[in-house]
Amino acid sequence: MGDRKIKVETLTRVEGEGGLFIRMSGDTIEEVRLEIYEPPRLFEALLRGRPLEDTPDITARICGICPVAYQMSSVHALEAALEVTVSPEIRRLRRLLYCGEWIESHGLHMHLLHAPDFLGFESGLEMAKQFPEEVNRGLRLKKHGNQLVDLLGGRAIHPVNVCVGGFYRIPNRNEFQKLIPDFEWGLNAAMETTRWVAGFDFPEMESDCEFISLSHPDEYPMNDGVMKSSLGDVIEVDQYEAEFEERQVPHSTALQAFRKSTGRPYLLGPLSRINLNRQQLFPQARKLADEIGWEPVCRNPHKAIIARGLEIVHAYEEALSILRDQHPAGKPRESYSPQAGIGKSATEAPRGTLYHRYEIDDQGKIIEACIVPPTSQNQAQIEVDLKHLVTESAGQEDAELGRKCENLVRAYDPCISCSTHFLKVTIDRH
Amino acid sequence: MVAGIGSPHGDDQAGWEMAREIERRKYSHVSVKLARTPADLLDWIEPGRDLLICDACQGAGEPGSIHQWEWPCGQLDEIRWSGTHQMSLTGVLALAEQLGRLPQHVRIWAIELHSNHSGESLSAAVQARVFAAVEAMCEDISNSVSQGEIEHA
Repeated sequence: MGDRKIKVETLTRVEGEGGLFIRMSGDTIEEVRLEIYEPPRLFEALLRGRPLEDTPDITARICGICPVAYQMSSVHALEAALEVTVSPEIRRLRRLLYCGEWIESHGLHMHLLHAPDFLGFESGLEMAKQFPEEVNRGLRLKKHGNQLVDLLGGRAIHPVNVCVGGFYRIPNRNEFQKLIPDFEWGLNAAMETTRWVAGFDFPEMESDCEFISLSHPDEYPMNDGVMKSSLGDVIEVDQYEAEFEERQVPHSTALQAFRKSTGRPYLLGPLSRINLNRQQLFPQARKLADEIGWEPVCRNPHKAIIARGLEIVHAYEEALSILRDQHPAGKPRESYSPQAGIGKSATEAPRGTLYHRYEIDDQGKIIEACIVPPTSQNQAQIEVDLKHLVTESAGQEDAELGRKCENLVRAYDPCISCSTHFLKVTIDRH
Repeated sequence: MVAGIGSPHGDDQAGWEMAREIERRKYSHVSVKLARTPADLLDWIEPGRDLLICDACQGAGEPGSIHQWEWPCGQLDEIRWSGTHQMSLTGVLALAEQLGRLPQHVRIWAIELHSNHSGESLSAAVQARVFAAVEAMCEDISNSVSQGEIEHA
């Protein structure tokens, strides 16, 4: 095949604005770039000089899909700086809040954004006519997630009830109990969904990536733990910046991330979490993983949709266990006095590990903030996997190759930003 | 059912204000809902209940101008609706239609917004038109009443 240029203008069903550029000479791949061109939003600079109490609500504005993740990483980092330890009840309720976010984010992505790729539809809207039951189920799961975030977070999008030390208000037992019937239905529905997506016809693909996620001896990772690598490394969250580095690349306004020790990119998110923490899943999720034949280590990025399904099942199980046992008794938040310090935290956003570091002064003002979102960390690995895919499929027609690239990008559920929803793909063959 | 779509920010409150005004008029058999995003409609709509949507819009005319569309309507795709995070109103209605959940009659009433900056109240231009928009909507509702669909309390 001679030199050629392929341009796929629009990739839908991803969060945010970006582009994909592939340059080929014959069948040789010269360059693959995941281009993120939306302007930097400068949240870290925005926080400087502000009271630390503003941080959870401001950082929640970074994302409309995963605001809880930003709130969780920020309050934990600030509590580390202030040497505040939250009560077991607060800790449990924060996990419950995170369950809500995982359910709504994964539910939306699986049913309306990713499933159409496997069933041959251009959009979830198009898919709805032939698969109304599945789409209605996805909408209902998303609604459950939103209800939970609404109850504990004060509103479904950009919640406002999380504060340093705990919550502004803890709902009463009756408010929690009301959610139980829906969540019992949701658990069964999530299991059906996972069985459904596990039956899709997946493209063959093996990514030689390093998987990284938080890991905790007693629970599936959300708010706490050490960072674990599929290479066997265990990294304290405090050491994040010593082990990982962000690099500016000319084609992206988002920094890319690499392991300092290997110089290579790595993968965060549901595939990494399941691969590294399968034994910490709640029982029905673990049993379902066995039932559908989930491999000990799954290296096919397309199968992340199944990992999301297992995580929704887990989230429903864990949410139900908390909802059933919830007897609000303690105070809603721990008090603290401002003190100078530095705090770091990583939590598991739906798309992967989200790292925050804050330095505060003795008046409780933010001196410096560092926020490293999962999608920016995954960018470089997505480029590596795209290069692999294009190499394997170089002989295919441009349109088909472009479609495969779009499908692969969607498998990572990139949250490029929350403002607009398109990604241009350009393949330049010469 | 009357659904007001909006937020507490500037003229984006127009949909809520219109819906609240209708609620004050206490029609029986008319339920009034306030939505933060168009996707909320998917939780409430029923094929057997006419749907009246109140919202703010942008790009349809002068600030404060009142607009009414009957779904489906091609012009709706060209109108910019407030809010960027969620599915658009037209996307939600199209999805509901695909799922067989959309009522036969869907009408959308909107006021062209002037400003929707965070923390602002309704602009004078939009505030002045809320009552007129609601009057027009109530006539719409009364027509439905005369057809035996809705009763006044």
